[in-house]
Amino acid sequence: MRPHTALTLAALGLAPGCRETVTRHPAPLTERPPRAREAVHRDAGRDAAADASVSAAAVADARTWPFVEHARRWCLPDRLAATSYLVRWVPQFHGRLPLGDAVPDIARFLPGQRAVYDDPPTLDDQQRILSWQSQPRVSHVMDCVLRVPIPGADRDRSTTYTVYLPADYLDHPTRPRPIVLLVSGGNGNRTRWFLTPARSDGETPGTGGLEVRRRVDAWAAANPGAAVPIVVGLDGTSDQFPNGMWAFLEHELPDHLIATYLPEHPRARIPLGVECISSGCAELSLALRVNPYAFHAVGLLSPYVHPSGIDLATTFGTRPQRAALFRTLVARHREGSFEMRFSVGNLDDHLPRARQWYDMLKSFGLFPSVESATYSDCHLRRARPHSSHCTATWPGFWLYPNVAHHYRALIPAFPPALDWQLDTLTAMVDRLQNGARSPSGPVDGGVPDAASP
Amino acid sequence: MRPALTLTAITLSVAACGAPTPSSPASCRALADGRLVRAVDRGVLTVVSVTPRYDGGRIHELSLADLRATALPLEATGDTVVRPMGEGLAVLHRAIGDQDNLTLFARDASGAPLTCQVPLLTEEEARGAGPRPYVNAHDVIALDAGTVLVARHGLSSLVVVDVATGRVTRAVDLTPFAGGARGAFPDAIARVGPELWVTLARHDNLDRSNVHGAVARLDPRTLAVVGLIELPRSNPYGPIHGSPDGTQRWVTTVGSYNTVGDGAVEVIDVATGRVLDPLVTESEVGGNLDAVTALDARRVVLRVTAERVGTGAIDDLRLVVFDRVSRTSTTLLRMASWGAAAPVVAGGRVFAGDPGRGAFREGAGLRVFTLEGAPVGDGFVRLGDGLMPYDVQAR
Repeated sequence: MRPHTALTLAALGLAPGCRETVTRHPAPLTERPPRAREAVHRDAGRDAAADASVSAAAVADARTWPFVEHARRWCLPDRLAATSYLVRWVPQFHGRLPLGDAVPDIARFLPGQRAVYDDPPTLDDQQRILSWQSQPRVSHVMDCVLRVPIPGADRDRSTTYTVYLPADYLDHPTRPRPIVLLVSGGNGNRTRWFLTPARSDGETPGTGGLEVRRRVDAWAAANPGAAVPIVVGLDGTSDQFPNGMWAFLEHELPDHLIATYLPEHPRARIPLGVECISSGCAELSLALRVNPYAFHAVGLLSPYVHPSGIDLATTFGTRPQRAALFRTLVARHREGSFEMRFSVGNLDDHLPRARQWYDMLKSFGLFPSVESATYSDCHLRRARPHSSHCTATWPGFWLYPNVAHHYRALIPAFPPALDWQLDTLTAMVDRLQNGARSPSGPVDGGVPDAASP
Repeated sequence: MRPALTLTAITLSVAACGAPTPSSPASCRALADGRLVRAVDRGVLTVVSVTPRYDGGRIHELSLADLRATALPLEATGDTVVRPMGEGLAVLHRAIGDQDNLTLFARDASGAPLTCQVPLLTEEEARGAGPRPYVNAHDVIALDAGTVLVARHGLSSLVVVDVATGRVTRAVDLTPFAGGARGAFPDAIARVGPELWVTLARHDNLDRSNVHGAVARLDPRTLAVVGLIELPRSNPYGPIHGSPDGTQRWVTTVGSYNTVGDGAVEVIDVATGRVLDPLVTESEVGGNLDAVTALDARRVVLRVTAERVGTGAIDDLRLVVFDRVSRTSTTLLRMASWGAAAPVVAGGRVFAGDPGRGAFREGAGLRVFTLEGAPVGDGFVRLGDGLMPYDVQAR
């Protein structure tokens, strides 16, 4: 880390705005407050210059990247906005390093030369995208804004997401490829998906990091030739989403992502996966109830299965509605266009209800019954394997030992869950492209209604 | 334990937890002077406790008289177990980073610690190409003043260690007694009359083994296997216990943790080597049996582990008093999650390791009861933040 960057980080930790819980984002160019609007006028000439340099520097590449125009206006390329999580994380990460030490793995994802509370993408940001055209190609991460219209009101609202663009995507932007949505729970946000953990104990708030870029890069390296998914990180549910987060997940964001990043493909041909954490899974459940065809892979990390989150008695509607939903999911599973996976800690208070949900789906035929779990990664080499100290696996259900409803559960659970999303969705690309697609309506699969309660 | 006493125990723990004592050839020589076989009743419990993430731990001595805990200058890992050995201790899986070993520990006349750490591979194994084999030692016993015998679970063998030199001098292969399994997987060693008995788990590292366990009977002078006792169930686990009258040995066969009803506490008649009717079966107590100890001539204390209903998690852990005559059981303690420590009866009290609750193991420590099941004092000895008892042994 260069000294001036270190100073910036230190300033971030001390800045009055650091305690804010609502993240400011680059406002739209058309809706700036007066002071910012003046800045737009001042920058207008520079925008034009930037456009000219894009054209001059790499005409061919720039023209094949469909997202550039969106990113130029709405995204921070190679930067993460100073979210409340990042503001807590930076001093903790920086504090464990000798002053001035390089932080090569994470420097890319820290705020750059200055804080970005109210800043729109700058000329520097626009120039940074140009540098992406250099070889060798590498993956990139952006922190972006999506304006979502509020129905019935002549207004819209800024929602946010982070997006990982694989190197393969920049080389082959028209290639069909999956999209994975990562939905945070109550304590994470879109930033944490891309951070390096500041501490390894998983117990200190604000020190987590799920290293999505590094993990997907590693997966891409291990799967040469694969259509590496675009991976999108989201905040947890909040009033940021004017029509509810379920609507954001179900259509607002997917429609935007496909139109922006994969515009040559209809949504039905793009495998879409969602991996959610805790309360984020409640929103995902609502989206699934509204549209059982919305997603192709659903992963649940420590789902919040509780009357105040996912209530098995009501979230999926009445009992017949729930049965119809589950039958539809099973029918899609049988045709190869839907997979589901649970990851829960053995000390998680929600485990009994998560397991009940799993058992309901199993009774409909989404998962096969097996005699007993398979054990791996046992903590205690002296004890015989069982689920209190080993990872216990049933088809579609991973039970992690010695972790509760807490970030620490993500340390063992998230990496395989992400790999599962990448593997599952890329395996569907050809199938969806070559004709098999989700049916347009519910299916009566003849599966017995054995749901409970 | 009263709160003040708890505080004292914690203070002592912290104060005494100094730097671990390094192993030295001089310590090994000193430990071979007979102190590992001299009978002594120190009136203490040795307690290994591990951190909530199983990434370290401590070893304490707990006075049976006043329940004060004192930390020993020995590191512990998530797999460390201890065995009383005369005036000293044998510790398996001790040092972090090189934990696949045996450490012998005692104090000299001045109270200074003597530590002898022994790698558990033969010279030939240590020289071999490829990755170093994982010994996974499960038990150890002193053969005489200068030699100890270690059960190498992972390598299906026993090894003899010369204490004075701190080296393995001989290996005894038990794979011929695997009974169709891929390995014999020796677990516990006990001296039974003129013989040594070694339980053979024969589980193939599977949760559900098709091969029943066995007990190998060895001549302690030659270490030749002179007999084999076939057990009627699979997965023998934990120590070989003696009945109060000494005529029987008890071995828990846990079977599969996913199946309640396939395990028992097996009873072996010492005189004939025959397997008798089980002391208690899993069906009688509604859970997996993986530890037993005698409370008195009529009652035993059992550790009973089962699935927390509807979760798939083997986390319903109970301490049960079972009356062998009336065939009734009483739950002494129900814990919030699974823990590894087997119950111990010592000094007229029952000690049970409680792993505590949640990811941070709130409430972890030792529970203490009278033989009638009443808590002693406040019934609790705390060993440190989130420290879960993993192995408890009386000396």
